[in-house]
This record gives sequence, structure tokens and C-alpha cells, in this order.
Amino acid sequence: MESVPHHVVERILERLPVNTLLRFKAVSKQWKSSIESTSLQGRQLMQRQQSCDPDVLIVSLRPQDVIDPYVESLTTLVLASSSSLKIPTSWENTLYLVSSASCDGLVCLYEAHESGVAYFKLKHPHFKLAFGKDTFSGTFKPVWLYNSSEISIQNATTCEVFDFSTNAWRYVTPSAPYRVLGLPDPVFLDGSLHWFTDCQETKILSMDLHTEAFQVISKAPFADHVVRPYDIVMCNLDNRLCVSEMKWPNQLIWSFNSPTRHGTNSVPLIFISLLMGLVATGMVVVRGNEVDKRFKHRDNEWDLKTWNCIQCPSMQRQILFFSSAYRDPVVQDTPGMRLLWLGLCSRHAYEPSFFRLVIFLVQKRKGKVLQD
Amino acid sequence: MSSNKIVLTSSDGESFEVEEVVARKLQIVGHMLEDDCVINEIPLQNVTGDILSMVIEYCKTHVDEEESEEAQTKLKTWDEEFMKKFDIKTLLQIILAANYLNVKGLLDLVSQTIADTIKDYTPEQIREVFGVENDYTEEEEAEVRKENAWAFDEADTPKP
Repeated sequence: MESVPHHVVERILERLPVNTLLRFKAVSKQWKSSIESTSLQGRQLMQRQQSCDPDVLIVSLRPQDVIDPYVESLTTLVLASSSSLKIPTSWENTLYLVSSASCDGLVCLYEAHESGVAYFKLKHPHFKLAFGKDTFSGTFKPVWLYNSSEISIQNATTCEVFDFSTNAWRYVTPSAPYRVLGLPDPVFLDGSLHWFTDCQETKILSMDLHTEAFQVISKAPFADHVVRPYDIVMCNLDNRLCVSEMKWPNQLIWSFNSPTRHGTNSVPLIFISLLMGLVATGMVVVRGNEVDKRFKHRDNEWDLKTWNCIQCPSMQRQILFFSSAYRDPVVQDTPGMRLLWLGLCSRHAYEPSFFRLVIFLVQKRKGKVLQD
Repeated sequence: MSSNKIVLTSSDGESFEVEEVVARKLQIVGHMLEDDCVINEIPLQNVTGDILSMVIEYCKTHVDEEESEEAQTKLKTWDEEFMKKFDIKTLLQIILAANYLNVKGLLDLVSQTIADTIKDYTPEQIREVFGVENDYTEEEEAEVRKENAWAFDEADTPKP
């Protein structure tokens, strides 16, 4: 067999999944260097995003929380094939934390004592590391934004960014003008990170990862009343910023239409639902069209033209049902969709009563039925 | 549309008479025709007759690509069936031909088919099929494999 020209090989490589690419690094030095090149990785990412079901990575918070190591240690679950893969980390027995945001398929794991030394000692466990990409320069930035008053600094907040070029943290000034809520996970979207502010009237604060400037982009749809940090959640769903507040028995999910994102005929197909109460945080991922019909579209009753809202009472009951059975992985089919329960119920490192549940609801996607 | 016929000749001397619109799907031919419009026989040095006939079959099917969803679905089904006929060795010959003849759609289709076919291959199988020489020392290769050990696990066990 004559050898295949390398630019042709690269066309094939960019269509392969990541674990295959890692394996193929062992083929030859040239294959390895291609696979490690950022240009190929960029094309591979684009190909995968266009043609594949999302790959979902589930990460346990720390080893002692793991009830079933097979299900709950650092694990990828490829929804399209319903298969799982365990990825060992070099620090498997270390206490590490996970940034909930992922970006370009990357997830940021971090050791608490390295970055947030002062931080955890000062008992501010609730502020989470945000992670995103400066889309202009292509650099990734872990960002630590926390309220200052507790550590006797005048400003409302302190912001630190980890710089991969120097491998060190640096301060960002000026930091955010408003105190932020530490409990809800920060969200990366479109080159910016987002937090809820800790004000009487909850706002959405964003940080442009290129300019590192903060601005308030909107009031939260539930800004008219006092919210409990445990009851609200923010997420990136199909590249839209969504927020939700738990209001039993209904779950309202608001999706933010930024001025640059028109054409929002479709309901966000993926949403996160927060069901804290005493039991759990749940995340639901819905894909496909049939599911939409079950949700009732509502107009903006908060008079915020930038927010859309969907209401999904029935979904919440399902989540509650599963959250009460959190120890047993469950796969249940409901008409037109498939409910996959990924048994993750690690205790939050600093909050014993805080359990996390992740529920994925996967619908038949574009006529392709998920295999049993 | 011109119904001018063009003769394409493979490296092993096989000739194919095709309509100009079909031949133009081969961008290499398109460029030749632009350079000198009186050509009606084109020798293609790097493609054998059996592979060229498959490329031509693809081009004939894709000659008028309609926008309608129905036509697109039909083409897609045809593509899938067409690709099923070939083993990996033939697929690689087709990708080489598609690359040389510069047939964009076929190049994408075959790249994807090859990717789907080889995704569970071992590095050894890849070297054999792609004619790649292993330039690692034993130690280097062991190191690379160790770094990516999890990707070598046959861990695709189905979820409970």
C-alpha cells in the first residue's frame, strides 16, 4: 500500500473522536504532532460539534464522596452510544474541584489549596471557579470572583485570573462593581462569564474575557422579589444564557436573547433545573422537537423584553421522582424520549447536605434512536 | 448546458466517455478545460480505471445537486449505500483519487467513511493500512501509550 499523503490523513483525523485520536498518537511521530496541533484540534472540535451528539463528562468532586466508583469517578459518558469511559487523573486521590462550565470540550479541574488558599481558610467555600475562553486571542482563563468585604477589603469584589502563560494568578482591577452570589455556578457563553449579583434586585453580571471588564447586562427575571441563592441557577443552553428559579410546583426557565442573537424560534432544548430543597440539584438535558410541545411558552410577564420563558411542570415531577431514588442509576423511557439517569450524587465538599444529581433526558435525535 | 463529451483516460489506459458537466465535477479537469478549451481527451496519471469508474459514478449521481430536502435525503442515502461497497483499502484509494482529482463532496464523504471505519483500530492496524512507518523507539512508544493509557482500555462497556 502506498503511503497516504499527510494532508489527506489530517482530513480523516479531524473526523475522529478524541479517545481514538489519543490512541493514534502512538502510530508515529508525525501523527502525534498532527494530533497535538491546535489547528487540527480546532477543526476536530468544529466537526464534532456539527455532526455529533454532545459528549457529557461527569466528574466526581472528591474520592470519598464516591459511592459507586464505576459510575461516579471521573467518567465520560457518550450519550450517543450510551457507553462510559473512565479517565484517570494524575491526582485521583487528591481533593479537587470542578468548574461547572466547560468550554471547547475542556473541563477545568482545580485543587482547592493551590489557587484559593486564603480563600478557603477564610471560610468562603461557596465561590466557584469560573472557566472560559477569550475568543479573541483563543486563550483559556480560569477566573475567581469573590466578595471582598469578608476579607476586609473595601471593594465589593476581588477578581483573580489564572494566566497560563506565566502559570500564576493575577488580580483584575477594577473588579466587579456588585457583590456576587457564590453559590450558583458561573456560566461561560460567547467569550464572557456570567454571575448573579448579590443585590436586593438580582442582576446578571458579565465579564468580557478579552477586555476583562465587568458590566451588568440585565436584571434577573425574578428581580422583583428576594431570592434564596439555593433556589436559582444559571446555565448555557444551546448557546443561550438561561436562568431559572425554583418555585414549586413550577419551574420557570428564562433564556436570554442578547441583541446579537436573533432568530429564537426554538425553545432552548437543553435546560437545567434546580431542585435544591433538601435533596438535590438536578440537571436535565432535552434535545429534539417533540419535547418542546410539552412546554408552555409564556410571554414576558416581567416586562423584560430580553427574556423568554418556558414552563415545565411535568418535568419537575419526574426529576423529583428520580432524585428520591438517587442511589440507583435509572434508565427510563417515556413516550418520545429517553430518560437517562447518570448516577452522580457526590456530596458537595463543604456542604454535607448538598447532593448533586444529574439527570439527562435525551430525546430521539433527528430520527436517530438511541441504542439500548 | 453543454452536452459536449469528454474522454477521461486512467493510468492503466482505460477510457471513459463522460459528459462535460460530469467531468467538470473533477476540479482538476475543470481547470484544464479553462486553460485550454479544445481538449476532449484527458489523461489522468494517478488513477487506475477501477477507481476512476467509481469516482465517475459518484460525479454522475451528484451532477445536479438539488436544494430540496427530499433530493438531499435521497442523495445521502445513495452516498451511504455507495460507501458500503468498499473495504478500507479501496476507500483509501478513492480518497487518494478524490484528492488528486479534487472532488470536494467525495473527499468529505470518504474522509468521514474512513474515520468511521478506523475509529476502533489499533495503532498497528493504522500503520499497516496507511503505510506509515513506526519511527518511535520502543521506549518512546511505551511512553506515548502510557500517557494515553485510558484511550487504550477497552472501556466501552455499556452502562448498567
